[in-house]
Amino acid sequence: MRRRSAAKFASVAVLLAASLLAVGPALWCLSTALKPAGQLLAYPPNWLPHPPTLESIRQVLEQSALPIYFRNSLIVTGLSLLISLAIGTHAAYAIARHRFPGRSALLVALLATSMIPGIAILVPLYHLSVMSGLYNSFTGQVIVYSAWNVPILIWLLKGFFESVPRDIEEAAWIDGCSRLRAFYTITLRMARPGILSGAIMVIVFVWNDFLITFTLTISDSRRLLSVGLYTYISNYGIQWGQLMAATLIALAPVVVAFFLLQRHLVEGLMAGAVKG
Amino acid sequence: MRRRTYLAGMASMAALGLGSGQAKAAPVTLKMWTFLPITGNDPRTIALRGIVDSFNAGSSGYKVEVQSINYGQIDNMVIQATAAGQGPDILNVYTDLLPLHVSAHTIQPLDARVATMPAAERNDFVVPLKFMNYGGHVMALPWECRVWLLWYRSDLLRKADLAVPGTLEEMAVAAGKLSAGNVMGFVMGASSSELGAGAIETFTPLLWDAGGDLLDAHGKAIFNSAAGERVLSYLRDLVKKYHGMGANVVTMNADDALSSIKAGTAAMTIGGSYRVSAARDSAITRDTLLTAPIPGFVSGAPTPARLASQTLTIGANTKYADGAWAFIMHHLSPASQLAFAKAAEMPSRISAYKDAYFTTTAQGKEMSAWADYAHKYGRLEPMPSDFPKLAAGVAEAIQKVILGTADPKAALDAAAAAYNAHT
Amino acid sequence: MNSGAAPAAARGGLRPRARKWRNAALPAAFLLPAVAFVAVVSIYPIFDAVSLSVHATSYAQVGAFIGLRNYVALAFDPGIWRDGRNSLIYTAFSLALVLPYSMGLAILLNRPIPGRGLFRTLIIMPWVTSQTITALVWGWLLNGDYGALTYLLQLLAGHRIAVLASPAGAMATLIGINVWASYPLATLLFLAALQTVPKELYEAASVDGASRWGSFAHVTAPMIRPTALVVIIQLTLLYLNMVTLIYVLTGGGPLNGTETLAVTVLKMSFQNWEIGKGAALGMVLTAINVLFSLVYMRALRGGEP
Repeated sequence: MRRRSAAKFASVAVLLAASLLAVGPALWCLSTALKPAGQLLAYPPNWLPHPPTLESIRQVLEQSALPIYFRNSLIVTGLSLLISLAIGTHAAYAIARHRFPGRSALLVALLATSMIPGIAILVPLYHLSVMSGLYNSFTGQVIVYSAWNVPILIWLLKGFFESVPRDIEEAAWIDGCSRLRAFYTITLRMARPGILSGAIMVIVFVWNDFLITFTLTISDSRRLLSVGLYTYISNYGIQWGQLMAATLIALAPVVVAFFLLQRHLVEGLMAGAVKG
Repeated sequence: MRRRTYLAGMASMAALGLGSGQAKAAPVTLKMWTFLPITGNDPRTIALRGIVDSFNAGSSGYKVEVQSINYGQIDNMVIQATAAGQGPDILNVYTDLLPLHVSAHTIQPLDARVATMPAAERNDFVVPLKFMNYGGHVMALPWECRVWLLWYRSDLLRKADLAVPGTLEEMAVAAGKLSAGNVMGFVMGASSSELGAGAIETFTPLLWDAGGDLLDAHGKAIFNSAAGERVLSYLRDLVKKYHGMGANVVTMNADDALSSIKAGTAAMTIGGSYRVSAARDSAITRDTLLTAPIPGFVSGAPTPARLASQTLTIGANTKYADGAWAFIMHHLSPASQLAFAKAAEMPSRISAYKDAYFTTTAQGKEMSAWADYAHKYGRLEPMPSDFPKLAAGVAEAIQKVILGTADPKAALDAAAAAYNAHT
Repeated sequence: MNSGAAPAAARGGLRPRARKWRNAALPAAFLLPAVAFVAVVSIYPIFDAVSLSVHATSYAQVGAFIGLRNYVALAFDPGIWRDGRNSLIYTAFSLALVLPYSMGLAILLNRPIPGRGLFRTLIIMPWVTSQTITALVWGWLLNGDYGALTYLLQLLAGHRIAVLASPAGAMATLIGINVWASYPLATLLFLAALQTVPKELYEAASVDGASRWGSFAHVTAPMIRPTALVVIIQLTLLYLNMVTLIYVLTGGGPLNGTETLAVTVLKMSFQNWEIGKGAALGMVLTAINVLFSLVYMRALRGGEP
């Protein structure tokens, strides 16, 4: 009995240490963001800001383009999420439910595109966006982000749709429900955990990406947050207080999305990714 | 024309997502790209905003809209956008990177317009226009100039009872004495980040003083000379013999060096005149950060002053070259020059220094002194279009020598060979 | 589509034929957008990249056909071989650390422990942090001059250590930060896999007198083997192709000690404007990705009982 409680204590201790390591950098970021300018470069460092000030955060919100970048990121992430989910759920369903020639070849081909390094096709995507007139637009970014997330959504959701019993769908057809309607009202609802965990993956990917927005856009009105952070790295030194304040602001939405959706993550991965 | 103008104005507003229903004939919007932030409270930002606002308030029929881009990204963005048929109407280019823009065809020659300036105005530049000439064309006009100086923290020197060094040897000895605990006597940005700018800005004036050159007339690297060896040996000794600089400078860039001076974790560095005011932006450094000409290998003569300029020029794809030129002229007007001088940017026009500001204020007097050093010892070596490769090679050679993985001659030979193989 | 009318038609006289047509039409309509998007944004660019890699380029302009000259130049460039070595070191050491760490955490998080939900949330947090932010924040913590961690290290060691100052130190640090940034998703996948293991198997094992290690080796390991394969492939691809974290934190330095193939592709393409050569190296990187994936699948699938 004692051995067991000792083991439990050790487990908790390890998890505590791991949690601290995981959130420690964010805490230091918070402390830096709240420090008055004079304490930023102190060495040895002051662990806590005294007195804490919202000055850096105020400067970021009122005197920089960060709010515009923030808006851009919201727009592009939102649209990419909708489009990739719409495309991904339909495709995953078709592959999970229907037998047709070339099905497994198609699945392999779709999944194999994740082996293409993004960095290797950055210049072609730039050329493509210029040729199509989508250079420096939200549309161009949304298309690339959506397409890049489709394979992982298919991978995640295919297992889900396979786990939805065929009987339930067929019962609905007999009740006079069209196949499409059965898919939208019944099957999709049952795949909810998978769709939500797919959603958080897409959000994290798009919100955090740097390379695509850096390559396909030029104006402040179209670029995303990860490029916006460079505002505080100027030719006249790094504004650490403002940079960390901006970092916090950039982190906030994705952390909130994560808190809201993370309950579904393990469940979602269980049925989809792990089995599929 | 009117209609087109109106449409262009609407289009650019729509592109900004502002889409308003303004009906009156809007002025043509000119896009200006610069590394200077347009929002915030930095003195340069305020000066730039003032210049843009006064231009926009005038009756030129043009309206300038500034886009700020990180200084490490702006040149690539210009190349990328220009190749996509877009890009700015007016752009800021640093002299070191002018050849890159010339060979990437992102900017257009200004000859015809410069020819309309009176001769007295054409010759009124601290950095002569011959340095802006590529293939027989004037490609840009400088709006400020800068010179590299020895920065020192007078409080730290006084505490160690040291005078401002008059030779590089004295500087090394002083750096050794100043190094203790968390303080480094001398610091430089020797990392490869930020295009290795810190490394080449420190290396070049010392190389000139030792009698060397970066490149020959054909653009081949010749810095692996006895002079280059002398400079690298000096930097190595600064670390290993005098213990005046830490080997961790290989991870630092020019920004980090500035922060160290500000934080008091370094006492001396070689820094640009244009950043002095940024480094004085703290209660401690306001009065204690001072500058002097960079000492030379022999006493009595400082090193040649490395000059550079931020310039303005016209984008290759602009439809409004006339408007762009009008703004550039506004930016070079006496009033604009003075506004930037008050934000600690040295004017590019010689005549600008006649203003009372330069004889009556501390900052004005200091800038005058810098301008004198620049006039007397100034040198501007046009950088090649593959400047980033050159700078990266020099930075790597310095890193090797400081970390002890190669001797100076071998490190420079390798860097020169790599650079020459590429060109 | 009008969902009310369709089934009525389907119930009509043409039923078998209509059914058959619909059987083919529905999946085709469902799949078409995915295939179109992926074809345009992933497949076409690969062909374009191949074409770029065999052409001369000047800045963003494409010039004459030059055959395999770019590939040959890469093969004879010692810098490329050094970058390849760095890529392998970065990938192998990151994997070697992330796999046990994430699996260990998953096993702990799978136990009935007070506050398990909170621990899980906190431990997964680095996942939502972008590579840009990870690099900037850790760079700030490790700043050789006034970083908070630099100070803690100084307290421990008695003198100041700039961990990023040497090529080996920078690589080791970068691997550590990469582990921090990439273990969460692996932990999640392992946790999901562990929760699919039926409890009865453990009960049976403990009745048989199996030790903790024994039940891991005989029950857990075989059950999570497919997940491990997925995690290893995903992480390997992630590490081989990682650009932003490395580029922002070290820029590939010092002395190119952290310059990987992927970082060099970025530098060639967007810093030195050798986009043809960059495309050629991108193709080499793609080939390496495919090779690794195939080898893993062989080794791990083939070894299955």
